Amino acid sequence: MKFSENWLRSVCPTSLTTEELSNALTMAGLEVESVESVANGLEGVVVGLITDTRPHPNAERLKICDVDVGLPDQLQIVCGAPNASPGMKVPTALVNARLPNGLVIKKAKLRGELSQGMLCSASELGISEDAAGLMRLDQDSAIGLDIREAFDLNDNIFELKLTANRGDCLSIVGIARELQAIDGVAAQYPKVDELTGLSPEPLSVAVDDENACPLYLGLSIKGVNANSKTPEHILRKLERSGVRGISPIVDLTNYVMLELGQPMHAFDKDKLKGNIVVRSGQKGETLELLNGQSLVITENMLLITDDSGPIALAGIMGGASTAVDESTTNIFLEAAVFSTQSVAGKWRTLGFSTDALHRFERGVDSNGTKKALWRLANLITEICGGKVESLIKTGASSDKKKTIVFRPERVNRLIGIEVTIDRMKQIFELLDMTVFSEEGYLSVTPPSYRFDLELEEDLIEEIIRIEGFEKLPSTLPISKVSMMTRPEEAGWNEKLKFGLTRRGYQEVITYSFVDHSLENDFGLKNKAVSLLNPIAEQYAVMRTNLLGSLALVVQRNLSHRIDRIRIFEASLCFNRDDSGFINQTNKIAGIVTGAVFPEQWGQINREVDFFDVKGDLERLLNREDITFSVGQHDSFHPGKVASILIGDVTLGIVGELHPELSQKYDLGANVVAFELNIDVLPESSVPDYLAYSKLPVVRRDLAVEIDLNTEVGGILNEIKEETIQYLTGVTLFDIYTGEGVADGKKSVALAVMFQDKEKTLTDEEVEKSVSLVLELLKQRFNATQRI
Amino acid sequence: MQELDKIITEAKHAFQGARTLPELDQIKGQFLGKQGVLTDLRKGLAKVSAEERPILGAKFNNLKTELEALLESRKNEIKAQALKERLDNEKIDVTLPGRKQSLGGLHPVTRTLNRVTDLFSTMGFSVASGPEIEDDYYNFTSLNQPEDHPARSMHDTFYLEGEQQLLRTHTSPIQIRYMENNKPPIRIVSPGRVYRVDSDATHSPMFHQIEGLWIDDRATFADLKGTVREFLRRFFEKEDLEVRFRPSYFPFTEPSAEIDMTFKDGWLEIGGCGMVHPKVLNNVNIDTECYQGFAFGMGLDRLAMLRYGVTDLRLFFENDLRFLSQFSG
Repeated sequence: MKFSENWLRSVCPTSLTTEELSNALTMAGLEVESVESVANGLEGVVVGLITDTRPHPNAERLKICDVDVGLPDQLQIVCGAPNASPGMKVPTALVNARLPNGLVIKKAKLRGELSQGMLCSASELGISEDAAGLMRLDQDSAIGLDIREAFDLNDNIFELKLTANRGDCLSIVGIARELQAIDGVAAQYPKVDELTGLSPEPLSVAVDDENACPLYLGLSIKGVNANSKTPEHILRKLERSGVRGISPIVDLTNYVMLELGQPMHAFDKDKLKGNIVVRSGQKGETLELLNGQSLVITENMLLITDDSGPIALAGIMGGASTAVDESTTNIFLEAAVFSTQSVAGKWRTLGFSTDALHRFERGVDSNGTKKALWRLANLITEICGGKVESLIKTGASSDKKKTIVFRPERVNRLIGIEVTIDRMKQIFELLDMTVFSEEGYLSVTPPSYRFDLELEEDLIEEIIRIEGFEKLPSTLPISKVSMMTRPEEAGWNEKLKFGLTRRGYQEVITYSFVDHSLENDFGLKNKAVSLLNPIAEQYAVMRTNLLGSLALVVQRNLSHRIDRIRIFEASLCFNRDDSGFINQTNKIAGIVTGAVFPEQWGQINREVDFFDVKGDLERLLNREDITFSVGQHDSFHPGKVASILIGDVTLGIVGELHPELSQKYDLGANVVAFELNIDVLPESSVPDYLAYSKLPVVRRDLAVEIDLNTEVGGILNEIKEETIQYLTGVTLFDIYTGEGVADGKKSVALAVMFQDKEKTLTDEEVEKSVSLVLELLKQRFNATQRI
Repeated sequence: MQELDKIITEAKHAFQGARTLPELDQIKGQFLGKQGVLTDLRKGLAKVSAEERPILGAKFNNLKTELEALLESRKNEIKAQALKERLDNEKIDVTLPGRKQSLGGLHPVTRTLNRVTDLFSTMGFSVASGPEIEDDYYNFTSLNQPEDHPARSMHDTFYLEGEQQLLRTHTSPIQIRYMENNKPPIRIVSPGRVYRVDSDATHSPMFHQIEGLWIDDRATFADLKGTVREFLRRFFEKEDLEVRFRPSYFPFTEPSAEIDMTFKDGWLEIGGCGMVHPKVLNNVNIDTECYQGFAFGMGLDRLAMLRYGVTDLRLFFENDLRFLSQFSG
């Protein structure tokens, strides 16, 4: 809500300075977003009369003007405007004057001629866009008068950021009422003359749903002059409220809305066809609105109609067919109340909002409707002439009185401050409430325009709002001390994130919504949930996994010539299962490309590969029950991807991105990525001590030859799982193919460890166990020992 | 006996001439070996008279001891010298950079989130989380924003296609879910991603919030003021930071206030707060005659921006490593 400070002061003559006023409104809950000076820094410009002009001796395009500014001596001013001529009154910037663009006027010599100021155009004063020539002032303007006074520029535009509950403050009078309560200065509301002895209105008004339109008043004025001029002071106020002047009747309607908060509409009565009906829209109807938009009516729209069909969108905007124009002489003024429900959220479907909609959405007090209508009728007849003929009313003003039982002791209990009962009563009365003292409580009735006051808590807020939050002490809550539950093992989310950062990964945060095609390339097929109203196509679906988002981060950084990237992200991912249910899963994913180590002198470096990332995961997860098996995922290289399993549950995936995707997204040669579903990881257990043997470990190195295609992971698992006496561990230390190994075979070198808890092992005992291992490998994997 | 002194002098000289242990060993033979000078002398002892023999014998023994001592001392000198030479050769350039993996790090918003939850945990708050796809009830209705409530337009909501679900516009639904399942006293903070249809230099369609909730039988607005002020002072590590509460409106709190803090020369809005609205407490079956409490919410991204001097919100989501790496370690 924007308004002119002077307008507010003319209704509520507070002695607060502009800054104090701004602060007082803000601290009472009407947040002042900005205060903008209308003069905008303009200083030292006065009304001047050009008494004489003569050509500049040294410049063809310049003139020398003598200007009377009310000083004993006339000023000589050099001017380039073609329209400068004797007898003209123009804005004259004196020496040291300041213009809104920051320019300070100095005494100067222009091409050798003295210039003691500057003659200004309207745009130089910031009054309008007009930059063509000097601004011509009214001939009756007083010479020497400060332009700020001449144009009422000693004003500020306040912009309020009103909360949704304070629709009652969407008017000058509404703000004045608040100011009255804050400051204690009595407001003077505009006088309204309600005429009596009118003729009956020939039109009838019917309302289908009185919940949607509880009150509809119509007033007819005959014989207006639609070509009258809207008075300057009214145009100025409108403009400073952000409303453009259009025509006197429309301007005055807007003016009263801004003044009193009641949106109204003027129909050209001669264009109305038959009686008025307020009803819901019907399929197939259309309405051409005042803004030129042609609207297809739906059933949830509330309309004003006549025999011709829809003529206005109730509470939102009038229609073109019945609009007032320069030939209008008879008008029908509508002042109605449309319920919040009838307009709420309509801006979303319409794609625009209006001042009327904004007000009805927050609630308009039906007890003020009639007064507003007469205020408008008074102004129109005063300015445009005409005579009020008739008034018609359908429905009634609300007479609901909400009386609230208010227990004064609740104030201290809820917000922690002592306020005397007298002060509470005083605050309520300042806010137009009716207060009765009852046994042990106050009976408080808020004014009809305060839709937001219903409960005791609402009144407590009014008290602290007017009293000021700064009077409230700052205390720390008192509570029983208790120790928090805190597991020794952090949750997996924390643990993995921390672990990854320790292994050189940088966390990123990307949007949870992504592009359709990205999701197709990286996500779960046909499981993504789409947004109804995305901000852009590239954010149209909720991602089912994190791989695509990370690929884009890699792409962006590679394009900045950062060629070594290790990143991860942890967040919820979303997928719809076959039953339609949306699963929300905690995932963590990482992506790595470039060299294993940052460039340095003492390290043999190479490009990162599958086993680097797999190793990171093995370290991070650090669990015996994690296994990796050949995986299948369209986004990965089919030969370089593994499923990560925990028992037989799939925990995630790790692999090299599919070369085609890497190419499509400009990701470079080898990009390795992983993703884990954190939710399936069981809670980590705390360490559980096992007695260990202090006897020597015997190591035997075995080299066996197996088929080239045999998975070595299976061999290692098999050895670990088989119970072989004294065997405590096995480590793979080499894989070899080539000379000395048969075609189609590979040699695998294993270090096998043996130990007993009670005695040092003899050679025979060790050899016996070794032969069991070899026997196992032979039977299960057709392995032969290489000697 | 001048001859003996001469031997000592010669031995000294010879030992000194040896540069390595094998050399010294060879020279040792000339004096102490089987064919050495001492052996000759000992043989000579047999020829002297019986009176002289003990005297010369003693001299001979002294000579031998002295030679052995000389030898040992030289041996030690050579060893020390060899060690010194070896160590000198092994000298490295300690100014060369160390061998290392690169540093990773948490995103500045996560870093802030961790710090905020840590601070609140010292006051007994635990951390609660919840789904990001919510339904209308948890995001709005339960929070006293029935359909058509004008405050709904404060949150421009992302809706999902084909159903009544939406992306949560705040983390408040977590509080409702928590209160449904836990009895007072309640002390939680609920951080997380939230979504609104809004995008410019100061708004991101996805951002992060943290909200706090304290419900017991006596928590007041004054306690809310104290808690929020305490938190902001601890978070920014500024004891003179001032906090201002400005009346405002949220459907789920009453009274409600905006939280401003001192920043540079003025006030900066940092969050919203209030006493939990009785209708919200009724919705989760908490008796408002026995229990009351406060709630507050702040933007984590905002806190991170202020803490680290980041001036453009969008930097957090562009994920340029030149930006993020400044928060590593």
